[in-house]
Amino acid sequence: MMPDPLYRQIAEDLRQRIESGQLGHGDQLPTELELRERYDASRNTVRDAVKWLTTRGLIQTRPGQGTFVAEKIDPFVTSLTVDPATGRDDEGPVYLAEVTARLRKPTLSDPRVEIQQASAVIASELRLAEGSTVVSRSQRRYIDETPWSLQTSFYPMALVERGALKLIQAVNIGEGTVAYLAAELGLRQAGYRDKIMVRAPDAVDTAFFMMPDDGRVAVFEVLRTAFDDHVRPIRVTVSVYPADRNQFEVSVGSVPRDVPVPGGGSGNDGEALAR
Amino acid sequence: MYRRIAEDLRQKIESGELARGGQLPTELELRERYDASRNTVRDAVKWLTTRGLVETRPGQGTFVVQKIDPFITTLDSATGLGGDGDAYVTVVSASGRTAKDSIPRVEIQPAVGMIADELQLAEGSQVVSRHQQRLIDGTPYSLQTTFYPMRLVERGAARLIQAADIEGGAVRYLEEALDIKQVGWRDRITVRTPDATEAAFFRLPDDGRIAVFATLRTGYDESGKPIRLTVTTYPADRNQFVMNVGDVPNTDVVPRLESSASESQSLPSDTSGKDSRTSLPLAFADDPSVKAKPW
Repeated sequence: MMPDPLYRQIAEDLRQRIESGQLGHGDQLPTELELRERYDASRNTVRDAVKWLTTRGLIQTRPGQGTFVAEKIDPFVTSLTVDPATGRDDEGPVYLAEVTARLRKPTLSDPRVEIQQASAVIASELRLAEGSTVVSRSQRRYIDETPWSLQTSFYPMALVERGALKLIQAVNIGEGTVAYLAAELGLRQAGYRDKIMVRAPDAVDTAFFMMPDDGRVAVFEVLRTAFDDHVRPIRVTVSVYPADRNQFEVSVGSVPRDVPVPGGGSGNDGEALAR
Repeated sequence: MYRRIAEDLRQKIESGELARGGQLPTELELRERYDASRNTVRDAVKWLTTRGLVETRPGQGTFVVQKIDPFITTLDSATGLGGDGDAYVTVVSASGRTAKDSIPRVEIQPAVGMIADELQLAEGSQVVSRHQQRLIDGTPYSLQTTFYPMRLVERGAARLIQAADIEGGAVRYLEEALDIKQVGWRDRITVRTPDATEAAFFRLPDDGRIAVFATLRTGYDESGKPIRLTVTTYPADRNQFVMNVGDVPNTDVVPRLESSASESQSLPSDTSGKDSRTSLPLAFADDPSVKAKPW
């Protein structure tokens, strides 16, 4: 294999320094001149290395001030596996509790409620004919005042016709829609399916999440279809999460609730078994 | 202005009006169509290029990028033992595609950082890593490395350190050899820009615009002890994930084997969305608004 070009070697070295913490988040990078001396490289080579790191969001240049290691956003880990009977409804107390439990501050916008014709994807997930009427409820969600996710849930209009009138009111459903539909219509959420993909952000995402306009930060798009006891779709929720501040977790089968502190106390059984 | 043009072209690409693999109108045609300056049109094309929607081939023009047929990985137990080789090959074949794994590369190394943490080993403990390249229909789809504590080998799981496929999968092997049963796992799913090795293997553009999923799967035995850690990277342009919790219908995204069809016969098969749940519960059937359709 060909050795990497010099600018890549420099960029890789700086990246490792950033990831190891040698260059701290928010720290200023050495100046161009210092980098040229340290790596014995031309101006263009150093600039290419800096550009490579910038494209990856590892550093940012502030005009008139210099180049800095990007601040790291403390990621939030969303669990995709929770009790379907209570969990992960779209505007409810579960989300607030989940965030608060980690000593972070959740905020939800009021929902924007629209009546619209189901797109092909939504119709197919809800098993409706394309163009059927659905209610959509969108919410912007913040953690510690930072925009964190955008969520839109789609409900078949039939649920409203059967009496779930709160779905078409532009106010938060305090108990959460899962509990509300169970209480109002006896519709129990028995399960859900998530489809997880990654795409480049669109204009709406970029503006709300204050993401760089060059599309280098991708967004997760999670499409959740929830089902009732009769395995019929109740709702589809489309959530968009920027990949620079979100991670997901899935637990299957029997998994210890809290993973012990690394190294601490675990050496014991490991060693005992090994010898 | 350039964003409006770009957005319009993007919609045309996504709706199929501009075919995948087809040539984009020339710069001149675009200038005329949108009544825009050369720079504006160039900015719009650049915006689409950055997002991987079009590519310029020198001397030929600009083309709509071919979409790679995505593969959908199921994260819950429906596909068996969690990323294990055999289950994976079975699932891919069931979708009518051909899976090919490289011969595993086996390394013994000290566990550092996240690997030690996840396996609950002291930093520097010896671990076995088994690394595989996975291709579907000849295209690279994922890179996978599984780490096992060395104590498993010392206790008799000698095949972990052989550079050969473990037939039936490592999970089954550990159960047979050591009576260690994997009873659950936890996945952590993140997205990041690819590193140099990944970019080369997956043949990704060098500008980092296509991200990779990096999933970390820790498998646990009955006592709640981690027995393995699997790190898999999947380019986001050709991979998606699905996760089922609780009761969900049989699905269009989990490919079904002929042989397993008998097991699933009793379950509704509703891939078309048109079977309309012939056995509607009464409460729904009574509702005039849902007579013709499921709702």
